[in-house]
Amino acid sequence: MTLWSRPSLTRSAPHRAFDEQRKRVKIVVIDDDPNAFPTQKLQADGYTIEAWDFVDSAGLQRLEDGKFDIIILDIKGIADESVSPTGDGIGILERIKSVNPHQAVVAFSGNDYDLSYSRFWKMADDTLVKPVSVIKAKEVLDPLIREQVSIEHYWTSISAMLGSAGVSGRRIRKVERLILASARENSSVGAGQIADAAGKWLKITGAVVALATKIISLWNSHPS
Amino acid sequence: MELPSFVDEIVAPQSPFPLVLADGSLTGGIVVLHSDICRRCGNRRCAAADVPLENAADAGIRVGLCSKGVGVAVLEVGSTELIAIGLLITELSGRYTRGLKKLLESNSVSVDQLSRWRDSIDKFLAKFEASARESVEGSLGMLHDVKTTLATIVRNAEEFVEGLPGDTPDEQLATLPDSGVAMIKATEILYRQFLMMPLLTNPAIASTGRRRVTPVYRVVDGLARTLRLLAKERGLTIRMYGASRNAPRTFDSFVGLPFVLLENAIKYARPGSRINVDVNDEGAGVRVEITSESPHLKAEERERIFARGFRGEAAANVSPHGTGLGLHLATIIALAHGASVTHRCNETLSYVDGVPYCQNTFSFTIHGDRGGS
Repeated sequence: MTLWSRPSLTRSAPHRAFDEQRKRVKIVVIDDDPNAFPTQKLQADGYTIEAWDFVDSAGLQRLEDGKFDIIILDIKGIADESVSPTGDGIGILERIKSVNPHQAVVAFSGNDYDLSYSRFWKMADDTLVKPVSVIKAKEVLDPLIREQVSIEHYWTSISAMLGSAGVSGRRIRKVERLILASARENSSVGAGQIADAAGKWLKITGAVVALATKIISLWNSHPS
Repeated sequence: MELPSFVDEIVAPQSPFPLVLADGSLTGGIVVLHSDICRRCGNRRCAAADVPLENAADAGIRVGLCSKGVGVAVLEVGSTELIAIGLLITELSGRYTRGLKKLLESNSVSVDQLSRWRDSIDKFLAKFEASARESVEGSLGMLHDVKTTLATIVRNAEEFVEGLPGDTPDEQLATLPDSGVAMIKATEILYRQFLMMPLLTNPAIASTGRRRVTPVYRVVDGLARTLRLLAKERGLTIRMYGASRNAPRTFDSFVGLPFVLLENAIKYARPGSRINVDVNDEGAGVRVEITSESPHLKAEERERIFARGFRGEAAANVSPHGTGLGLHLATIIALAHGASVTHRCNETLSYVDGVPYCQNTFSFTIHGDRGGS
């Protein structure tokens, strides 16, 4: 790095093999039918998958905080009005995307014949129509893992979220330097530090911390 | 629900007032009076923009006199408007000429009467729509249950094949007796057919999700191998030709397009004949042509065969139980990819049991950068 060049997460990020990315990525499948998605087969193939049959308020907080890299989301029977304005997966998807538009969500349903769910399919980053095979599931998951589970993508998400929240370019660069320094030192970054660098406390601070933690973890999983 | 057809077929014949429909035609219960004022009118501008209409006491009704001085009432019904004409509207009686009053007296009506008639139509329409919706929801609910069962069948079929010795699906299937292979292939065909059904009620689903790199030749070849099961039952052979290597990016729905065309070819091909499948590169895209000796289409049928529910006369003779949905579904998928399905015939006719046959070719060209929502 030369004296005049500005340090950046994306320029400095180390690269890693896909197998390692796949092991590190956290996936959650949310479906009230435990047999609908080939979870066990994919777990046997090295994917890290959690299976939920319902989203409660604690679960929604985890989803909004970006604890999972990829969310595979059903429509019916997985939520009620206490967490979803629409009482189903559409409301959950809307809430997740309103907090972090870059959160990877795969629409997973057998209701592709129903016009009233068109919004669900369009809002998601990709779609899986039931019934789904292991091959089909990998066809959808693997490109998402390659694209989304990377320091570049996490940083793009953070800067987009901060920008949308009205944080200035100068402050965004300050947040970037904070995360880069923490990554190099392999130390954690807290909500207070993020808020301090951003110049204010934000509703999305939790999600930013979660993504920053992923950046630091990815950075240090590949010692240079 | 399309209200114009509802009006044409249900409301108009029962109307106590003469009505002007959207296409300008006259209809209604007491059609036009004992005079011919409306019937002879060349203008039919009953409720044009320059006809002064005023809101009646009922918010959904506007009344006035047309350019000929005859009473007009525009009634909001559902999401459309009905225009009742040739009226002597009692609230406006002071504005009529004496002659017209006499002519129209048998069509004397008050705003209250118009309002009550309109309300009864509204109630009927609401019940009609609720009943239609219940019927659709019931069917969709059943469809969901069938899909769940199909998912179980597909999953178990996959697990069964994966448990067989061999490194590839072809090697694994080769260890099974013919009936076992047939069962697995039939499961795949059923699965493909089922995946097409949602397009009928939700065509937009054809362009959802990401586009993926699709080696078209390999996909079409795979479909041909699977559908040989059905072809064999009719004594048909399927031959693959071409040397396409391109892999355009397509939506998941794409596979349905060659599937439907192949399935159609098998359904209608003369028993014992051959179906040729040509897959070649065309620029950055791929052109697929499926040719079979099948019932001849008359010139006037060729445009209509892509419409939902339409079947050519000769094809209907050969296969009376068809639905006329296959080419319609193919068109939906093609459109989602910025493509179209075309047809040509070599016009050299042969006859089988009195039905004319020719070499029909259905084709499309798929590019990776067109179409989508």
